[in-house]
Amino acid sequence: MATNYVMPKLAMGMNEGTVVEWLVAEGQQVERGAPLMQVETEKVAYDVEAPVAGWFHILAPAGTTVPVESVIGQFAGSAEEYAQLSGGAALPAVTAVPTLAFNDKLTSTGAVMAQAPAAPTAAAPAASGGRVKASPLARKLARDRGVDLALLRGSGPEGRIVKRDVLAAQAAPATAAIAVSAPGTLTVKGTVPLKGMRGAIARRMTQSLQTAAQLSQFSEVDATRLLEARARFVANADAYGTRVSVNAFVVKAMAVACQAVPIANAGIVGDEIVLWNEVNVGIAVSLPGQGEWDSGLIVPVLRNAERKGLVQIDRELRDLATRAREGRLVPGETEGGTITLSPTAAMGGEAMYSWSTPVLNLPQALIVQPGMIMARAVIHEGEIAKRDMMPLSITFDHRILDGDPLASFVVTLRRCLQAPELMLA
Amino acid sequence: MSEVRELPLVEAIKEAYRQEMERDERVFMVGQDIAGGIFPHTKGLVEQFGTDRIVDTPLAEIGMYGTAFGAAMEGFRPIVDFMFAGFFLNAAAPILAQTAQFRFIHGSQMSLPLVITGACGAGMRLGNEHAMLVHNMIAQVPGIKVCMPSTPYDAKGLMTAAIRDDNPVAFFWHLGTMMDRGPVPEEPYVVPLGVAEVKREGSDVTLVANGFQYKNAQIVADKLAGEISVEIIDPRTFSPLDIGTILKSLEKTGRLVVVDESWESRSTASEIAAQVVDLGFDLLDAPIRRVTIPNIPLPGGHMEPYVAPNPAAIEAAVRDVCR
Repeated sequence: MATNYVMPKLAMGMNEGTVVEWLVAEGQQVERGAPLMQVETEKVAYDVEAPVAGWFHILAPAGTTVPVESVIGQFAGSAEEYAQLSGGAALPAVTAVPTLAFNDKLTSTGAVMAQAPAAPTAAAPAASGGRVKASPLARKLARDRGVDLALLRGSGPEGRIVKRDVLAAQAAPATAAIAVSAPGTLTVKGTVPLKGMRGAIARRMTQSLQTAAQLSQFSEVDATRLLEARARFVANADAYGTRVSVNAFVVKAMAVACQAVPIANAGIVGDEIVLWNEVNVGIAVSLPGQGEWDSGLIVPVLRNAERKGLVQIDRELRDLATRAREGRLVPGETEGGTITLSPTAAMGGEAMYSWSTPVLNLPQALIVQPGMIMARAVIHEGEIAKRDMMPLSITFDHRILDGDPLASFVVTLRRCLQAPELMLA
Repeated sequence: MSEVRELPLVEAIKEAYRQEMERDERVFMVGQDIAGGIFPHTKGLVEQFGTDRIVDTPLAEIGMYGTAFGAAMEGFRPIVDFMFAGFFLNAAAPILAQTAQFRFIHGSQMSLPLVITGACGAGMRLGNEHAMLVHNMIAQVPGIKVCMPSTPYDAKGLMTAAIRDDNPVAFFWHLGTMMDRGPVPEEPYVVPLGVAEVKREGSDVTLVANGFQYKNAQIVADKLAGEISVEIIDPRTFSPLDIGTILKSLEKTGRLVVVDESWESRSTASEIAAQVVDLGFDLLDAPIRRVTIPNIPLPGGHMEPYVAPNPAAIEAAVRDVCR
């Protein structure tokens, strides 16, 4: 009996999905659990595994977008039945395949990364209906040893995760590189579970790098006058109630540049690029990790930077950063960003003049990373001069914008930072 | 050092009777056909101790038990033999309601140092009271200790402990074990009540079994040796239950099968399962399986082997939790 295959509902908010690519050929015999198709939702692309085995008959060609639960293929129980299906003969009896619950038998790109690479096939989480089936002992072991049960495939009855699965997962090498370099010579200093904030960062960063066409651009900004302007604000700190920071200037400059080059303040939503009116700047704030060995990161959003003055921006920056570090952000404060500012880490107090390639905070088109301002010898007005210089790194999504608009954005941004009074315009 | 002689289980019980009656003249027996001897466990005692201490009674359980009850109140230490344990039910009210509560009701001022005994167990196709195990019925009531030996050694030690205990103790023995031979030391000794024993060491699964089912458990463990390493625990006493030994074993195995020749619901198997989930939830790597009599009347005759626990059912359960 043939089994219908429907567009799975992969996330709570998923209403429709696009078959980006069938990973099996028409008529191919497919094992249960084999990669079946790549599907794209409003948010992310997933590789989806075959829920049952059979000879697969494609009904929805690659590129088709259909509502969830629509039939997009059929699994025939035999080669003969497949011949009937593909021959357009009257359909034999068809059973419906159980609807996939969120997380059931799917592997998001993020989860692939978080997976211990010991399993070469993208192993599916053992979740069913959101609950991981594991024995009490397996749960306790996983808890004690920091193993994420959601990433394991259970070998017990009905896919239950049992003790041996947790032990095997822990014994699995943490990275492929370690696996090939004589694991016997290594001893474990500590482990960090890829879950919680660490898991979210791992997922989002991987998803970003695997999804977007990222290109980074480096430049230098003469921040001498910016520091002078800032000094005047700081001199009036009592009146303003805050010591306006360099970052406040950068946020303001980003808002001005976004308004000048609207495509820089955009994101990919569904199958189109959406340009936003508001310039909501996400601020990357580093946090302590969840354990002894890791670190954390969160990106609260400063809203409507385009409508705010330096002092207000600075106050809000400080407030957001403080509350982020104290874990007092309220729900929603990390959402709705349209562009991100990633201040260079303090480098442990070491003065260091450096660039990097910041990773896009999807679905945003752009991320800006100002480096540490340091005195440098540069050619200024035809002379070698000591100037306060700021290295500037920008990554942009080449799917959204190209070199020309990016150049316009950078030029505007640098102008504002080199001559802060222009931001009054 | 001379080798420890081997005795059949019934002879081990008789030796406990004999030694305790020699040691303490307050000990006497009252029961059905204990002077004649349908079972060999009392044979010859009447010749040694006389009819004052081996009191044969007609089939009158309440009167028989009343004799023991009253004597125990007066400081004697009677052993009441129902021949078949299931007939204790004819004296259920004085046993379950009055004996069990006696010490509590009297503010611990008076105790009833008596032993209730009888044979039991499927295998002979006798049906009903002649075959049913009643240990769970009594163990459900606080105030009476309940035990059953699996080996001749335990039989003598548990019976000696039962006779010496100042509380009422029910000691049952399974018909399927009565002629089993095993080493039994000649001198008196005690197997403490309320203490289980690991009778076979293993690492994959904990198998709790007692009496005749203990033998079945050994058969299964032998068969699976090399494939599944079975640890066998004999609870020996059902009340009070030694859950600690089972939990300790589970720390190693993570899997539990309990064999209880009794109806499934409200059995010792259920009680052990409940206590393990309560006290050792994190130790479990698989569901607990009970091998018991299904909740249907125990048939006599040819259907009996189909409902009583047997090696095939035990093996299936062990394999199931070791999947």
